[in-house]
Amino acid sequence: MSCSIDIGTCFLVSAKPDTNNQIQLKSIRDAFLDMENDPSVKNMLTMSKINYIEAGDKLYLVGDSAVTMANIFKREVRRPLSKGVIAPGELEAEKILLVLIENILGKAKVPEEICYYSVPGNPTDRDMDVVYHQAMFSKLIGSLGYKPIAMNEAAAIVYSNCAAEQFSAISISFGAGMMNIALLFQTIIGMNYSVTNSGDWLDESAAKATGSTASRIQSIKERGINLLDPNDGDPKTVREREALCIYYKSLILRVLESIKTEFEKRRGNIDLPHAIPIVLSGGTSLAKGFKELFEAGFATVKDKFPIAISEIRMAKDPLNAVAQGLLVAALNYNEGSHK
Amino acid sequence: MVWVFGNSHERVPIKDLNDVIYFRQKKQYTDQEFEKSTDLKKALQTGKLVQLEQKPDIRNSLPDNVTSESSKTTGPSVDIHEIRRVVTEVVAANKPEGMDIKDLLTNLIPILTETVRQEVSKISVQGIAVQSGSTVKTSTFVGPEYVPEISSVGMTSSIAIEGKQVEGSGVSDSLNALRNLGNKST
Repeated sequence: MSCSIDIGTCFLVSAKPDTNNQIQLKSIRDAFLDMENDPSVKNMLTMSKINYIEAGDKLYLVGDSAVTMANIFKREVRRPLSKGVIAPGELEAEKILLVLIENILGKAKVPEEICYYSVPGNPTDRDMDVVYHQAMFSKLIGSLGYKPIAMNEAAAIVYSNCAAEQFSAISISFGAGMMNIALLFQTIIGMNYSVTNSGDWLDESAAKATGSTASRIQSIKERGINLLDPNDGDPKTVREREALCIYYKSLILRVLESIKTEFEKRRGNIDLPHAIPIVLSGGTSLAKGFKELFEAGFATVKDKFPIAISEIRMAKDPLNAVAQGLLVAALNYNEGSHK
Repeated sequence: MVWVFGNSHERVPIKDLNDVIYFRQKKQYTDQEFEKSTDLKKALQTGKLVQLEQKPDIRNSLPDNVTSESSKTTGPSVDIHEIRRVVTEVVAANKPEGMDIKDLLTNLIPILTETVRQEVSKISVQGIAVQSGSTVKTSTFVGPEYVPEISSVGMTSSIAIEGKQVEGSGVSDSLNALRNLGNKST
């Protein structure tokens, strides 16, 4: 038995093999909102089938419901993770995370069941590391009876999307908190790192530029945006979409520049014998026209780009690519590759 | 420069510095950060943090008029003013009765040279401060990183998550390719 869990700033996604060659995926939005524990409120939540956690005198709305209610009551939703790692100021975060993980992963069916979980790369633009984050999740997942094994988030995308290239690619996970980048050659990680400021940064920047709020921009973004034509959509929010398009371009150019810089630092250590693809994944990459915008951005740096690129493509299932890649690694581990 | 040490099993959030200190983590802050952070001082008072040492911070002990713009730090106006003030004081204190100002200045040249040298060395330090730009912060864990026991005891959940089933052939193909790659390499 093996399973996996992708721990993202915005979503937790688990994957388990099911019967008949199927994969069972479960996900929950990584967000909560605290309320006073009042019997009438609790009753209302139960009747409305809203997900919540009860702890003493508090009720925590979790998942999408937390976001919905936060918008209704004009409150800020709280998130256990911030910029890809455990949020520094959220002291209740670990307990909430444990309950959420338990709900989407369940307890281990056999002792020491293998569970691969995702960890971000160390950021190149922020004074922090992921040591504590990794240790914390190892403990949380271990407390459910699993044998937890950490794997780089971007590397997992290559495991689920690049079998044809013998697991050689540059993968970029455009998450909410950060962008994770990895270069793999035949499963060997040549470089991996992260850049903070991704989807949340887009929302905050576009909100500042248009005098709106980040949650409103997020809502506009999630309703659907065409990056190649911001006029495509509700005329009332065209200004917000235009701002988002500008920041998307900036985001793409920033990640390409970071790949150049990080590769140059390791140039002596990596010698790729042939061209490899760039695989794009993550919730932020779901915007319509993202791949085309990325290709246009790449065209501007192609001449000076230090790595030969065969193609740029989207991951097959951008929201679940990490969880599926982790599952591949977990199943492979179970079959004795670790011996 | 102030070194502090995480003395609480719980994470200690330093919200006004957008930071957090873990148990057994040693972390460095500049004098300026230390002065402005009430959270840091409060955590020290309650014993959640322990102050290990405080050394004068060269970068942050510079005069207030030093700016982060290199053009201003190399500009001479502030330093000449300082030199003029020092020279005036020295002349007033050392001028003997009836001595010619030219002779006096000749006698004072070694003192002036030393004064100028000190001012120039200050300018060099300012240059270093500008180059460093943002605050350089370091932190280390003393011993293995400590993760507190997390328990969901006392928490009950009412969470219904609908899973979705997807075709597993992609995962199977990847797994087979991975096995083949492993066989080739062994």
